[in-house]
Parts: sequence; C-alpha cells; structure tokens
Amino acid sequence: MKHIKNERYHETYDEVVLDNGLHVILWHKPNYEKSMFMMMTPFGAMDLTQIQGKDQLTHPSGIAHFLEHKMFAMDGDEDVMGLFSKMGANVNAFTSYRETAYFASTCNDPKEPLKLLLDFVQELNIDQASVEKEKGIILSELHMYKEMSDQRLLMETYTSLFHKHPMRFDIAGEDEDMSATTVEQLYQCYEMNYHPSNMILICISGHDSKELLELIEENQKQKQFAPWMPCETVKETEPESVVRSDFSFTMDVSEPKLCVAYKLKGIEDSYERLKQEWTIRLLLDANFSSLNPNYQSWLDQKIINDFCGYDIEFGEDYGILMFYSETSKPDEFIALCDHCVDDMKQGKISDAVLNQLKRRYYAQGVRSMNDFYDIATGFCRSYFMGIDYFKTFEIVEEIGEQDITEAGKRLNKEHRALIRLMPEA
Amino acid sequence: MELFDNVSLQLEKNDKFKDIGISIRFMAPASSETATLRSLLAIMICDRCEKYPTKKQMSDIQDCLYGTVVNAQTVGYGQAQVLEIRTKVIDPRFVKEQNLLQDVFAYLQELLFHPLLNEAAFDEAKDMLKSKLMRLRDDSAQYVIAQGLKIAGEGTPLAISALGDLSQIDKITLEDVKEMHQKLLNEDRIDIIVCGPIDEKQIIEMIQANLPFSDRSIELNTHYVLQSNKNGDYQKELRTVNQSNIFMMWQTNTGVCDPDYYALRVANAMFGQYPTSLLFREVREKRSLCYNILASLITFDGAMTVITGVENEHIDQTIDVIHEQFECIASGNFKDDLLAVSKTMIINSLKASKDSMPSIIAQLYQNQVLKQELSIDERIARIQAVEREDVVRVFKKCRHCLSFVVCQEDQ
Repeated sequence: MKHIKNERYHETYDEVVLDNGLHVILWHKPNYEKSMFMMMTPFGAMDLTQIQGKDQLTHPSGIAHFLEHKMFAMDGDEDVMGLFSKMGANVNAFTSYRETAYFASTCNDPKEPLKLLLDFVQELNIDQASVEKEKGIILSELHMYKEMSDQRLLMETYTSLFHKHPMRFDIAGEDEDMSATTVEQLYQCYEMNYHPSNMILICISGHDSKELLELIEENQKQKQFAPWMPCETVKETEPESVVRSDFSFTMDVSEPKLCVAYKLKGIEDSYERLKQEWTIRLLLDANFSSLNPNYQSWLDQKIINDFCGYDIEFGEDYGILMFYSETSKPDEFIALCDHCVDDMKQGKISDAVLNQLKRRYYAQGVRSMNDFYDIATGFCRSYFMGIDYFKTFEIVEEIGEQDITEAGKRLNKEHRALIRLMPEA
Repeated sequence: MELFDNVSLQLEKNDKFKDIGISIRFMAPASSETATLRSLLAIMICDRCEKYPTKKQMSDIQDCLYGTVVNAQTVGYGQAQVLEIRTKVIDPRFVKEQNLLQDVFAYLQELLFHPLLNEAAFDEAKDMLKSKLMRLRDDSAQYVIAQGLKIAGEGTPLAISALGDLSQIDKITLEDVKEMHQKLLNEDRIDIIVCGPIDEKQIIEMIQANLPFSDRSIELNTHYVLQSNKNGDYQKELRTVNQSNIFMMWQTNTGVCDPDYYALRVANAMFGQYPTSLLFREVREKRSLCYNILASLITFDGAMTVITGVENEHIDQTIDVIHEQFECIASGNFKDDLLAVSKTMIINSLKASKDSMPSIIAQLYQNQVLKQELSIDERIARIQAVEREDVVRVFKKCRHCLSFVVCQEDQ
C-alpha cells in the first residue's frame, strides 16, 4: 500500500492494487459525515469499435450509456436503487464520451453500501424484457436533452465537426441504434470493459481506511474473473475538414444562439494534451473574457450577451475550440471569434494577466478539494490519463512563455463550423 | 448575535472546509412591484462598483483575492423576498497574503455600499435580466414550473417570481434602483452568516469595521398557508417541443411551523422525492413513462408540486397514475417499508447537510427567520417520530389545485 500525503492541499490517501487488478484509492476525509465511493471504467460513448485479442467488434451508438442504465437491474423484484435507499445511501451513475462511473454516498455505516456498489457493478443481470422496457426511459432522457437548447447547440456542433469520430453521436446514441440494442450486445460490451483490471474504485471517507480495505479485499476474493484481455478502441482517421461549415436549425427560443467552432488536431500524449488545454484556456481567458478591456464594448454593441462563453477540448484524435453567444449580430460575432483566434495565435499573455490567472486557478484547485464528487471524478479521470491527480492542478503553474507560444501555433481558423440556432418564424 | 436592531450575525466555525463562506441576506416584503427592481439591483451590485468601475478592474480585484467572486440572487421566502449576496474565499492558510480576509470584506463593502449605479450599467443590467427571463421561458421544463406557480398562485405571493417579470423591466428607472438600494441598506432586515475555518473574534471585528449597518425597524411575515383559487383545474399550453412537461400542484394546508410539517416531509418523500418513491417506481420504473419525476415542497408557501417530462401520447396516463399514487398515500395503502426507507433517506440527507456549506448556511438562516433553534439532530428526531397515521393525515389535508401541461402542438 502506498501512502500519499500532499502538503500543498492538506490531503492524504492510500493506494493499493488488488490481486485481481482492481485499483483502489482510500481518500481520508476526517470530520466529514459522508462517505462516497466511485467505480469507473474508461469505457464511454467514444469507444464504439473495440479490439480484444483477435476480435474486433463495433457496438451500436449509445451502448455505454444503455449499459449504465441496465447495470442497476437485479434478479427478481429488487433493484439496486431500492437496496441502497434501505441502507440510507444514494446511488447514481454517469456516462461521458470517455468513461462510465457509478457512485454511492451515505452518512451511515459505509460498509454495506460499499459492498453493494462492488457487487452490482461486478455483475450484469439482464433479460430481453428488461432491456426492452428500458428503451422507453432512455428515449425520454434523449428527448429531454434534445429539448434543452444549449445541449442541442453543442450536439449540433459535434455533428457539424466530425465525419467519422463517435462524438458526432449523442452520448445516449441515435434513437434507432438505441432502440435496436440487444441483450447480447450489452453482455459483450460488459465482458470487454468491466474487468477489475480495467477499473478504479475510490473511497472518500472519514472511516478507518484499513477496515474499508479489508472489506474490499474480502469481497473481491469471493469473486472469480476471467483473465484480463486488454481492450483497445479503434480510431478511424478523421478528415481535417468539417462536415457542415454553416448549419442552421430552429427551436422555440426567443434569441438566436450561435456557436463558432474550430476543428483542431488531437494531441497524443496525455500530459501534453492537458498542458496545452490549460494554456489555451488561459489564452481564452486573457483574450475573450472581461480581462480583455474591449469586452465591455462587445457587450455595449450587443455582439455578445451574458450567455457568451468558450471552451477548449483536446483528445488523442481531436481538438475543438468553440465560442458561443446569444447574438442578433452573427457576422460581427463571427468576425470577433476569428479575430480572437488570430490574437491567440500570437501566443502572448502579459505577465500580470498570467499571474492573476494562476492565482485564480490555484484557489479553484484548493477549493475543489471540499467536494467529494469533484475529487472522485477528477482522480479517476487523471488515473486513466496516467497523470498524478495533484499534478493536474499544478500543471497551470508550470505554464510559461514557451508553452503559450506553442499553444498559439496549434490554433488555426482553417476548419471552422458555424452552428446557428434560430427562433422559429 | 444582534449587531443592530434587525441586523444579525451568525458564525459557524468549521475547520474541515478549505474556504470561508459569507452570506448577507436582505429581507423585505415580497411584492410584484419590487421583485423585478430587486432582481435588477442584485445584478448591478455584483457587476461593478465606484472603486472598480470597469469589468476588467472587477476581474483584476477578484483574481487578486484568489478568485473571490461575489454572486447575488433573489429568492422568495413565502410573503417575503430575500436578496442574497454570497461569496466564498479561500482559507487564508493556503495563501501567503496576511490580509486576504480583511481585503475581501473591504471589497464587499465597496460592492454593497457603492455599486456603480449609472445609466450604462443600468441598461446592461436590464438587458441581462431580459435575457435571463427569456432563457427561462425558452426552457420548457423550467417554464412549466414558473408558469404553473403563476397560475396556481394567482393573487398570492406564490405567483410572484423572485427573478422578476419581463413586462416590468422597461417601467423601471435608474432612480427607482437607487432608491431601492438605499432601502436595502437602511430598511431591510439583514442577516449575515459566515461559515468555515474562521477566527470568530476576527470576523466580528471585520464586519463591524466594513459593514456599517444601523438599527432599523421592520415588520415581516414570511411563511403562510396557500389558499389557491384553482380547484383541480387542468390547463395546457401549446409549444413546439419534443417532450411534454407536466406540472401539478397541491396546497398542503400544513405550514412550516405546523406540528405536522415533518410528517409532510416524509409523505412528500414517499410520494416522489427518492428513487424508492411511489412516483419513481410506478411512473418511471414500472411503466417507462419518463426519465425524471420529482415531488417537492414549497415550504414557506404551503404547497407541494410534481414535475415530469413525458412523450405527448402519455400525458393523460401519467397524470392519472400520479393521482393514483397520491391516493395510495392519502388512504394508507402503502407498505411500512416505504415509510421506513423514506425516513432513512431524509435522515441521511439531513446528516449530509453538515458537510455542505450552502446547507449549513440555509439551515442557520431558516432558524433565524422562523425564530427557532432547531438543530439537525432535533430535525432528525422529528422525522424519526413520524408514524403511518401522520402521513395519511397530512396527505388527506392536501388539496389538488392545478395540472398544467406544456405540450406539442398536435396534442
């Protein structure tokens, strides 16, 4: 067992890898009533074509999310949520493009909920009837998100950018793919991705971590798992161009919304990826937020409003830089975004602004350690990226002139997509 | 402690948090005339101030204070409305600066006492509030609640949106805002709550030095028991939407200070608060009609609501099932297990509130407003004491007022 003590953030945890490969983190949070446990697999909506050994398999879109829903089913009348509730514990889950996570929390004795989390995530128990029944619920979820104009704008942005990349699909998949998903496909998917060697468990609690670890070890000893065969996601070569350079759609909204998105190249190395993402975020803060003295005039001219924002995201095989706002002056907004990218390409931030942003994000990092959910998701994600969790915060402080110049070079306006959400006539 | 007449300070020392939360709450009677005005003022207080008159200067000072962002929001508390100024500052143990807290209080003083109240900032605040209100209208899941409360609460404080009303914005002048600002400082009831790893003596000194309030006299009523003029009405509104949203409301006839209030909390939990509730089991799990369904209490108004989103063709069936589940509880047709597990879940969330700074602040404030000293452990004991017959009794007292649906045009 490795004991980690971080003086900077005043946090400690223990780290163990069990015989079956399960990676376990026991994070100490003395004086808290609550305990929280999260199990995560690096299997998300992006992992559509996978190779395991010699077998290559293409899943229907949305299968990771469908599986997340069905993990909660149990034999007979009982279901997982009901059992957690009886223990006075909450349980939930999420699926993102990169991972699926299950988490439970309680202020009561954490042992039983912890066991139940391990048990339900490590066993899939479904039949045709229960799979069919779930489709109505998922359809309702899909429609709920489609009804949210911000979500819809984001989804249409991904669809505009990607020809082949799975991000062109909603996390919950296409309606037709979801409706056609079978029990067999769900089992296959489960077998390929939910092996203990492919998962992490993090326990954040004020309870004695030795006791919790004993419980986990005891629980895992009683279970048999086939030998782990690593599984790889096959990435299709994505063209550099965008699919739709200018796309409009309508919804029942009051104001037009516009997203200006630039497709960038991915970054293979995870550390470099994270650092570049942070650097471009700093460039964006410096150039496209109230830190830019011109920001007020953009508001005054009504080119942007309070909804205005931006985002940068890199994957191994994709990069997206996007700006969005409600605006009735789309041409001016587009020109503003283009101009901002030009400015960022210069790769310059004044020392004063750089230092104040570092201060802002340092405090944000410290304060995030109050939040069990933030710690759990952040830790698990950084584990699968192969980066030390605390380093993901400290990376901002390392950013210097050279990183900023390099990040500037990475930006280009060549592959731009405009996504316009218009009020209905 | 009372700093002045109707100005209180509550301190909650808690070293487990890595930041210090400061909440300053201004309370005045709720009225449809002032709600929009106060909502505009809330935006302007946080936007800029005389000392930092540009957005850039505001960002600079906030970053200098380690990302100390100040937010303001308006919330209804029954017959009263609260304008809350809230901020969080990193625990000074984590920074080199000696005077961080002092500087934060000085900054708060600038925002509160000297906000930038000029025409340009006023026009911007009006635009911002209009956009916020229009976005709320655009989101049909939020709109169905706002509009449902307006219809069911007609003529009562429930119908007043604390965020304000689109039609009122252009009637308001800058002079009105300035006048309201003075009222806020000099006439509102004020409660200051500070929570986190604090030195109590030091905080009291800083507040006395930086927040120079004074005595005031104000008569305030907060909680009441709603009497809706709707009686099981059904209304629908047609919009271009993919999913239909349902809002249902009951008047509970049980106020927050009623001895039955804790039984109502349990009954609401059994009805639709948790995954174990009847609504979740029957509407979502058994019939696959929805993804989300939730029952909640509007505590200070004596109302209970249910909201869900369903496919168009399932609207009538869903409303029927919701009514059936209500009747199950009101007639005592439920298992003891449901009662037990719902109590367990509420108790768990009460315990969890000790770990959440916003929950700690909310409970301290509720005690202050209701002039009670009810600890979390006492609340737990009251939940624990709820029996089957209590649950049946409180649901029998409820009266269905309205079902309001926003649905597709072909329905």
